[in-house]
Amino acid sequence: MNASLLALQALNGLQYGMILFLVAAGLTLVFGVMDFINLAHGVQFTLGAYLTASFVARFDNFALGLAAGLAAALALGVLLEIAVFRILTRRSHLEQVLGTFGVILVVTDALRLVYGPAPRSLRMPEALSGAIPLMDGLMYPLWRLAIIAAGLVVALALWLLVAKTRVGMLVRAGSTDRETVSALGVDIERLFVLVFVFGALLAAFAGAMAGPLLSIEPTMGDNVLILAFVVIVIGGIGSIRGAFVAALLIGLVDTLGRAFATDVLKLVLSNATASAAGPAIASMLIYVLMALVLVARPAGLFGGNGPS
Amino acid sequence: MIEAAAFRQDEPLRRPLRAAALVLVALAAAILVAWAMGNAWWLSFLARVAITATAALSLSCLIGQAGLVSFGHAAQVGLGAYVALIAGEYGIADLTLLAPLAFVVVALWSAVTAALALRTRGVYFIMLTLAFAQMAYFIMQSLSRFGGDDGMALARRATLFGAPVLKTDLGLALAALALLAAALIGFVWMTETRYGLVLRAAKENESRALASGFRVFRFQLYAYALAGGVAALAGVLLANQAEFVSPSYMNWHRSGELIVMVVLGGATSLPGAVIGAAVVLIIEEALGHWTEFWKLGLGLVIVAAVLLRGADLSALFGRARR
Amino acid sequence: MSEAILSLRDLDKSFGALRVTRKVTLDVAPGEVHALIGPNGAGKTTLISQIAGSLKPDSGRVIFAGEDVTHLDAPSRAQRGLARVFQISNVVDSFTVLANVVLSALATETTAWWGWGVAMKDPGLRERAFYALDQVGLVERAPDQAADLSYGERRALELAMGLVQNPRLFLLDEPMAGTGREESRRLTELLRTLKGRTPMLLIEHDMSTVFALADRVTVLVDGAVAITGAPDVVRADRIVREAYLGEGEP
Repeated sequence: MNASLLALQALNGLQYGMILFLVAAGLTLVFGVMDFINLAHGVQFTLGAYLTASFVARFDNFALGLAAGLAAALALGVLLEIAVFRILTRRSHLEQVLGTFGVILVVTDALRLVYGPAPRSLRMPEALSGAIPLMDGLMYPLWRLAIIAAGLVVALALWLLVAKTRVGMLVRAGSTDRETVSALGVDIERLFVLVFVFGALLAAFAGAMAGPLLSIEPTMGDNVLILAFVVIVIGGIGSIRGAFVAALLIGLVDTLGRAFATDVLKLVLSNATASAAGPAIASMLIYVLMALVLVARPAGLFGGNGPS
Repeated sequence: MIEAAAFRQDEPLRRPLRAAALVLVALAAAILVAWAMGNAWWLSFLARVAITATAALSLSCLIGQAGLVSFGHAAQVGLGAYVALIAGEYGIADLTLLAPLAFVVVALWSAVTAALALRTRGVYFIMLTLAFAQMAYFIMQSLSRFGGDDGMALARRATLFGAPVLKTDLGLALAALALLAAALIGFVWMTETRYGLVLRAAKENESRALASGFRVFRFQLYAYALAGGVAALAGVLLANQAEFVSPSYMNWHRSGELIVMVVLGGATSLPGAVIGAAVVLIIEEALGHWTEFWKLGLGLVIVAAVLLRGADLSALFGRARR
Repeated sequence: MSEAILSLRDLDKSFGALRVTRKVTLDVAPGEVHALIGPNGAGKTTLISQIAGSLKPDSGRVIFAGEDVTHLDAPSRAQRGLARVFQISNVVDSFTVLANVVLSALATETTAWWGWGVAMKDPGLRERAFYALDQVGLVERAPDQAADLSYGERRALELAMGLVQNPRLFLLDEPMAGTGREESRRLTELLRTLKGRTPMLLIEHDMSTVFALADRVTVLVDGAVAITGAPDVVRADRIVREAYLGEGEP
């Protein structure tokens, strides 16, 4: 364990956290504003990756492919919103869980049907495929830096949007007091669609950005979805700031845990025991973290109005 | 004076018990027919229905009676299966020891996780149960001594007082049916006891139950532990049927499917959960017969059922929802 | 006056910057009907919640029947004999009227929650429930769903749910709110029959009810006790007339 390895893993964790943030931001907004549990949010991540991959392959141009992929993912998202989610937002949480779970099954198998079961890959743009030296003995891939940068830009933009604009004000108000917002003459349905579209776009973007680092397969959204839920529960449902902090926390804890848990355990345990227990503990770490946070703060780190 | 008050005697248990008996007799008849016709595939399918129905039933007790939507119930089933596997590796394969062991281990795990999860409500609770299930999943996945991600074959099928009762397909199906019957009648009865009354009251109106003097937390904790224990017993049988255990038993999709079964059967109807389990398994098998993309069909059925509010199969069977 | 059944000592509670309860000190004597009045937003329900235990005070003490219950939760206080009737009727809608009262009766049988028998067939519980229903005139409605009751009947049901527990103190949060004139008259009558047997802390807006029932009245203004005294004294008090009865300087 040396400094450059630690820095490398920390950057990886940061990059992972940014992807989680992009997915969690939409999820937490949709939940906070509409009181809607959307399990199918991970589907947008998968669609973003698949569609971008296929358009990039067709146009042989990453930027063009990304734009087309995101547009297509967004169109499908809007279709789902109109056909399914709009009705579900008025139902109980149990029905929302059930309905959106059904959507996951449908989309997952539809993707398998269209693209086949074999994993696909997404080529990253030539210009960003290299690595640059960050410090002595540490070359870091440009693409991962691009993801970190993109995440920061989105976080900043979101913060400005929510804190400084009229729409952001309505979103914040809408999540706490629906009646007041309606009374202001705002079309709450339109606000919902706007928030949903925005969240879907961010998740699809996350899928496209993560695409070159992952093998693209129909169930790739599952893990991201569950981690995104962990993120918004830790951060406090409805809080963008909470989602950002929690996403980075989860990204770092998970990545560093997987990289170093075994080594750390070897300091106190025998080699064999540490090798056996290390991976198990590493993969549990974020869930333990979530449990600890919720025991201390049942509404999450930044959850103002806790569950009643 | 009070006795004089004309008052029809309510028979709260009669209807659900009759529905339970109907469901159980139908399943028993199907098992006997399959056995008489010597159809091994049907026999093992029916055993799977009974096992899955037991798992769904224990979840139905949580969702429909206690109002606790657990999105991690498959982990309880899977942990039960792992208890069977690991105990088998250490030579414990008799149900007299194995069943109580699985029940207690998983009930304890459920109690500990519920003690944390019950501090929260609503979506936070749903997500916490999912997170704990994932935790269990990853723990088992990392146990390379017991197969890790690939899973591992069971040492041998369990016995009862030394007799190899689970050895044949018929034996296994009957054991599964017996477990289902005990669980179904037990849970139906429980809802009408004092404990069940408080549980249902707390589900509908927690502040009332608290103000009346009930420590709702405890009632819910016990329900969660009990449901976990019953699910674990289903897991033991599942492991014996497949003679194989892997982390995929605990995949969160399985938890989702269990919720589907419960809700399709009518969330507040315990016998409905058995019907829901049977219907979902039949849909899976029927669709799986002619396409490998059967989840697409199942998903469409689920979405349609929820959107059309037909998410209550028991209504089709002419049963009021209690 | 003998020792109070309920004593509040310097209760204080804030929500953020808003101080909703200010150094409230109050005694309810055994057998007494003690009315708590005050303008909207004076913090009456918040105070009741702190007495019932569903809200924790920031400082101060709640002493019930000689025991400091400040740190006990709501169920524990209910088991010690505090029965609360909510401002907005709080019953289990899907249960029958009888089941609601049986449920409430169960709570005070602390040793017997774990019976195997069917709760609704338990003769002891039924008898207690019917006795309570009889007192509030709801026996006829016993087999009906609570959701089907009229507003006034729901209030009566809630009273029965309190009565069946043989409480040592009733906390009544606007029992007349939303009831019609006839129902209101019957409820007042009912409370009058309970008077002397069970002490009550009564929040009520209807002054005729307050002055008809109460032995003493406490006026709460901005979370603080403005005055406590006999109804006539309170009615005559100038501060009260200005702050609450709406009769400011001419």
